[in-house]
Amino acid sequence: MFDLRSLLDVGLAILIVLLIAPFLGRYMAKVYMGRPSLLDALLDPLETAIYRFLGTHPRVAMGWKEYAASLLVLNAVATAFVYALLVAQGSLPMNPLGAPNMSWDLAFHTSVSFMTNTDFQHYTPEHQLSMLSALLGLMMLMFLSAATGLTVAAAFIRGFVRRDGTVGNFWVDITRTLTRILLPLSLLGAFLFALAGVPQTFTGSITYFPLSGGVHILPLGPVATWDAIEFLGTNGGGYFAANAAHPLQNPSAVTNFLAVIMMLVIPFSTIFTFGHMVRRPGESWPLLVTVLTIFLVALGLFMYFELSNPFLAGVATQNSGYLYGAETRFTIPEDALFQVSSIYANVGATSMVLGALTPVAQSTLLFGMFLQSAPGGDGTGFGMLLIFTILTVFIGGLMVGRTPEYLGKKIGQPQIKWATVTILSHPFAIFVPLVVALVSGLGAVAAGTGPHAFTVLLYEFTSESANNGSGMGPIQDNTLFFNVAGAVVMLVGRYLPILAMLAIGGSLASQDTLPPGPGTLRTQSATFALLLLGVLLILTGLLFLPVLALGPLSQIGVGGL
Amino acid sequence: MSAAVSPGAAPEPSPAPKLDPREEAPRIPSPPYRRPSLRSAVGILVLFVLFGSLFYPAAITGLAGVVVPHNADGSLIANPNGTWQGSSLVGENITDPHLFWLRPSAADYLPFQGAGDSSSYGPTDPMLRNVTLRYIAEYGLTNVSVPLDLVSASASGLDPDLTPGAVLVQVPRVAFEDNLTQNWTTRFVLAHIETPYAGIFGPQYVNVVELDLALVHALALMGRPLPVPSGELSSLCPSGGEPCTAGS
Amino acid sequence: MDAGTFAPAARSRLRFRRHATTRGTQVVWNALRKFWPGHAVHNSVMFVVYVLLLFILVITFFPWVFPDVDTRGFDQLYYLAVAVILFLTLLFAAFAEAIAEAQGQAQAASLREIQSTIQARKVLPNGRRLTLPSSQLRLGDVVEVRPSELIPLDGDVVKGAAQIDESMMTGESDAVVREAGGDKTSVLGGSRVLQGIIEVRVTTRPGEGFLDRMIKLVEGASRERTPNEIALTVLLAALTLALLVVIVAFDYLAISVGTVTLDLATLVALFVCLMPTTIGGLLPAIGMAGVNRVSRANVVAKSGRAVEAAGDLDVLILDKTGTITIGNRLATQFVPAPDVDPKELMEAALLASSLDETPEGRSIVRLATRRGALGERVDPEKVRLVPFTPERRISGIVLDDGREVYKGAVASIESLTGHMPLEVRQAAQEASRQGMTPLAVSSGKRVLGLVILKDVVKPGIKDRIRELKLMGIRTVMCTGDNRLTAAAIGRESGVDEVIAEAKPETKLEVINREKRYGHLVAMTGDGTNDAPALARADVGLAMNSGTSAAKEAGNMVDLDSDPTKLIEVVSIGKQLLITRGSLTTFSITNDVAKYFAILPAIFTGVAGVEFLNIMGLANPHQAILATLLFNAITIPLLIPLALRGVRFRPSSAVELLRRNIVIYGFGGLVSAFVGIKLLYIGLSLLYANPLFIHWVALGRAILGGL
Repeated sequence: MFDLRSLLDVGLAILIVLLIAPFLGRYMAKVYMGRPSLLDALLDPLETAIYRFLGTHPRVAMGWKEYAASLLVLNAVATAFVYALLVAQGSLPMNPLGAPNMSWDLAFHTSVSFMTNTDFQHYTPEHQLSMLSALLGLMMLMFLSAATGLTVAAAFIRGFVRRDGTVGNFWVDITRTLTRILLPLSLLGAFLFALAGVPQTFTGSITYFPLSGGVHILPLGPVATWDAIEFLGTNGGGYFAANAAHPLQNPSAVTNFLAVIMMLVIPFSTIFTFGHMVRRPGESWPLLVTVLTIFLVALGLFMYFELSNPFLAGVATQNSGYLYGAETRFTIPEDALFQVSSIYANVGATSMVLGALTPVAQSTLLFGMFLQSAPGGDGTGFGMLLIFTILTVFIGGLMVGRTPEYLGKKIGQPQIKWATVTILSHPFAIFVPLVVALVSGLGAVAAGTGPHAFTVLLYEFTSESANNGSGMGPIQDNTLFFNVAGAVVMLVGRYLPILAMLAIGGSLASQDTLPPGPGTLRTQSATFALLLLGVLLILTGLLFLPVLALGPLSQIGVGGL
Repeated sequence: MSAAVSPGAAPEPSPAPKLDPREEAPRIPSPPYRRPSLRSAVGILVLFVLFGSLFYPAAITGLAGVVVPHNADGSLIANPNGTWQGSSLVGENITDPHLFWLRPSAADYLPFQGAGDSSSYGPTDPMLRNVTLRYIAEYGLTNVSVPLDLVSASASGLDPDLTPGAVLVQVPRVAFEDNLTQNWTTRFVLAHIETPYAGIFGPQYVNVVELDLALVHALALMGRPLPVPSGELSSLCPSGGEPCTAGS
Repeated sequence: MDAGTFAPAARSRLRFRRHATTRGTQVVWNALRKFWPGHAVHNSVMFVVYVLLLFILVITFFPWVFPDVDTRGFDQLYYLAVAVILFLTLLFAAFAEAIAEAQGQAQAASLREIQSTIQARKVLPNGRRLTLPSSQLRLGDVVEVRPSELIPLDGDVVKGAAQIDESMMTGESDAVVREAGGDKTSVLGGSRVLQGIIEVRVTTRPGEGFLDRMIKLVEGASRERTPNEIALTVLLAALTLALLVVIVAFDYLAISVGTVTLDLATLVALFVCLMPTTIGGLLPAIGMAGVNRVSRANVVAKSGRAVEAAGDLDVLILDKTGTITIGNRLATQFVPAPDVDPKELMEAALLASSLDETPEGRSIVRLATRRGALGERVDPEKVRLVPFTPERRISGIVLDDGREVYKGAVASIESLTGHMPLEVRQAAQEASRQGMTPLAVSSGKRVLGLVILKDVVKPGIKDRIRELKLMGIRTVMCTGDNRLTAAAIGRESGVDEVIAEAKPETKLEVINREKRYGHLVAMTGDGTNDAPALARADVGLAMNSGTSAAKEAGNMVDLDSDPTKLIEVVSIGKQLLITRGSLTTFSITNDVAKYFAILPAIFTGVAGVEFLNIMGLANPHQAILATLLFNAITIPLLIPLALRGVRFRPSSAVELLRRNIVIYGFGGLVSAFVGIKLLYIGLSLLYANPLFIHWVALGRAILGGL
């Protein structure tokens, strides 16, 4: 049995997130509502200069189509820039370890992966990525993709309060997200990481002479800054291949603790941002309770089923938990908290080998990626939750005999149509490439065939479609097929839902607001939270239970579990 | 509504099928669509590069270099001759029977390999059992109950730590090879157990890299120095290229 | 109007009822017609089932079309069983729609009978009359209608006056009077003139009249899907499409994983069971039944959307007179002047009102008699009636013995008698303050006291207004009365807001005000000057007794001309939405149990998935058939509910939601577990039956012979 004291660590991390979230959420709402805040004196002149440079003005508002087009253009430009950087990195400066140029498909996959907030890595950072690419390319994209997600959430939420068809000014939103949210938090986070022992240097590597003999190279770099935006931005791409399991990226239980808080804090805060932006702070609570319920149940399941692997009973003792594919410096509850946070917040960083997890733990993680919204990645996770909420309002509204409305906006055909686009895009983006991979034989997995190999493959595409970015391995995924198919899946999984969120926001913004009456379905109630929970779990289960049964669930019996 | 209902006027039937005005949803005219400007997009890109890629890491590197230089450089351990022994955070592929061993690693504890999950077995893969049994045999521990961490790969392949049990199970071998008493060796190990930080963060564990270095040091003090490879190898430093000394 | 009951009242006098027995053959025929592909394609969810049925039938009889079917454990009889259940699923859904249609058609048929037989006498410009069938009339034509003839089309009386029997249309047995000019000009096509000759200007085109609209709507011919229904259809279609992807992928994936072999029939069964077939199959019937329920309440809705809008209402504007109050002030109290015997006052009041035929006058007689006044015998020939005039504001009689007895406004009596006791004056003021009307009574020059008249609230209206409040609907009472009277009635009836001294345009102002706040507003009205407000309101319920303009402007017409009917319409609108929402929830929660039945059946022998088999269904094929069968029979079991609508009790939204989640959410979950298990046991019994075994053997032999 593990040391029970580390449950305190887990509880403390969650408690801190829940304590920060209302305040950070309110602050973020202020940022998107243009309300005054402490940073104004410093940032207002800077931002004014930036807007002049960009050729926009904060008072120019956009309809959802213009907002979406601006977003897509910016994302396309940034992807192209990073793609160019990656295919030419071998001949560019700041390449201490001599990373070669990336092949076009690997560069395509990598640039799309970081732009879509997925951060799935088909390359090995230690010897396939130059420091220039890491800093100028991928770290920039980690900021940009997180900011993109948050602006989408802001625009979506504005649909509920605006009545002129506009959803905001994209250029202003993304600037303010960087200067007022991501950059300050990252500076703080990176400094904390450095204090807690994470390296932060522009030195690419050192040579060392270990006890075991020989000369070895230890890659180093600005890991603390990378870590902070990796977690805060729910990105999840590791500075090292081993990601958060790597002792230089996540050297202690304290950094693990910090990482968990950073991963969860923005997604949970967004729930409060929503309440403040729609001027009904109470509306956040049913959503928070629902998300937290799912999250805690997943955490409990994962923790319990990682305490030991019955399949290894009698081979070795597992007093400290099932440590195969896990690091000794973390307890099982800490591992579980990190891993569940990382997957449920769609970060995708790993501190364990996911392929080694017990079947129930694997199913738990897959389910989180099927949901994408408990709490999901920065911005988009909340957008997903809001879409599920809209569906719940629709069904619930019918059940109380009124044309469904949420926060005074009628939920009708346009909203339902776009909501179903998101619900459809996920299974499409997972299953179509999965079938192609298996039927064509292009998706050969090192694990061979059978349920585990299938789970690995299922995990790959699920992670890409959910823009999660964690991998289950072992999989030879730096192939033309996996790079191209993966990039397409990530694009579909990212931009279809974003379009849907903006379209719903836009369509709501072009509606008049109806006042709430006593006959309106009250969404600030436990009953509504329960209904939302039911809709989330049943709709997701309905679509994904068969593949779970084919994959991890059919492994359960083998271990006698 | 048409004239049909204006009071006073003769009810003039309107053409049917007439659409009731109530049937038309009130529409708010959508705001004008402007083509997104490429200038703004490039501008934002420049902004993110300036702040995210340049200002941010530079500021933190500067700050960390002043406040926590040891951490910032990677928690490195120096050899007596000024070369780097390694990082206390990163495990080493120690196979010397005189020392405590670490967990098996597919990457042989080579950080540059970018180890990770490249060779894992599923949770119910028969190979998992076989490999574990093989490691137990290789570690010469067939007759005792072995903690799993000692005989299974870690997540990073660089894990420098073991659970106390996994170190203690090696005490008989190390004591025998180093000609120490088991009692002394056990106490030596127990003295190197790290306790949870602030009482709640992390498990009890032993950093085996530091433990072995301490053991080497202790043996040297006892007048029985082990042939430590790093001392010899420092002369093998390439004359040009990468410097062998710290703080490049 | 019997108040208190909220369900759409099934009035025995309704004309609809006479013919509205649905004919069985009609239903069967309607149901079978839905299997025609061109028709089947209309319902996306059921069309998918339809295609799957064809797919399974092809495999059953031509298995060689699918080369790998043998490797998947092809069992012809099992496939046939799946096909039969799929067919039943479709049939049941078709039946649901057909029953709703047939109800409408029966109503339409009897309406049409009236229409087809009418001959009209058109008045030509030269004054001559031309007889022709009503279908050849044009808009604006003028027709002459004589006693015992039917009025051919809706129109306005332009000349003459007549007593008209509208019972054919409205079920109202009392004859109504319609005459040229004023507010009572509108006549309904299909009603019969009893007395008098009138000329009617046709205000509708043939085929577009009131009758035709009603026919089309109840028949379902002009049924358009309402926005809510479309949104729900989109959701169900998307869910079906997503499941299709999942199931097709599941097939390919299962083959490559290799742990299980998937039977095509099992795969189809899994798909059909997970699809929202229950709500998909019942959705058209629910909408039609809603409109039918409205017409059964004797309200003609011009569109299905109007019915749904009724469910969304926030504000109801009610006329005081006729809706909240009976419409006439009634005597409730005698207040004698000092030193006057109450008996004397009553006798005098009785005498003064003895020839007064107004409701007020009659109520005074009634009250005095009940209080024990004897009443003096008066010979109508020998007394002189002094009628009420707006100028004098008194009425009474002058007896042959010279006595003069008057009743009237306090001031008028005072000027008549020259004095007014202080106590009486104070009592009168007090009564006025309470919204009552004091009438002073005088005999000769003596003031005897007061008769207090009061506006009486209809019995039961209070309960209805309370129910509306529970549903979250605010009531606004509009009246031309002074503030005091209005406030008193408002207090007594419990309405939320009172608007006194209302002018004809006040209602429109109120509607505009409420709409500015984004409220959905309903009102009732009958006069031409109500028309703009009726048109502006989200639900405008016009009274059938009103003018054509009012009826044209409203989007519903109440044939009974009962303003409180609006409350019933609100319930029906809500019920319609609740039925859809609840059955959707039921359909989806059912799926949970279905997974627990089918997945273990598919993964027989795979321990990790078999633990889902909490129902203990041992035989895989049997479990799948039981689930599929359950899926099919929920449709007919829910047809009555779909047609009747789920029970609706006015209550707050949260309470309603909680109740419906429990009944249809958890109910759906539990009933599916229980139902599937029971069907499984039933199938076990069937399988053990020797006769059945014999039939199965025979079936296999026949299929083998094919």
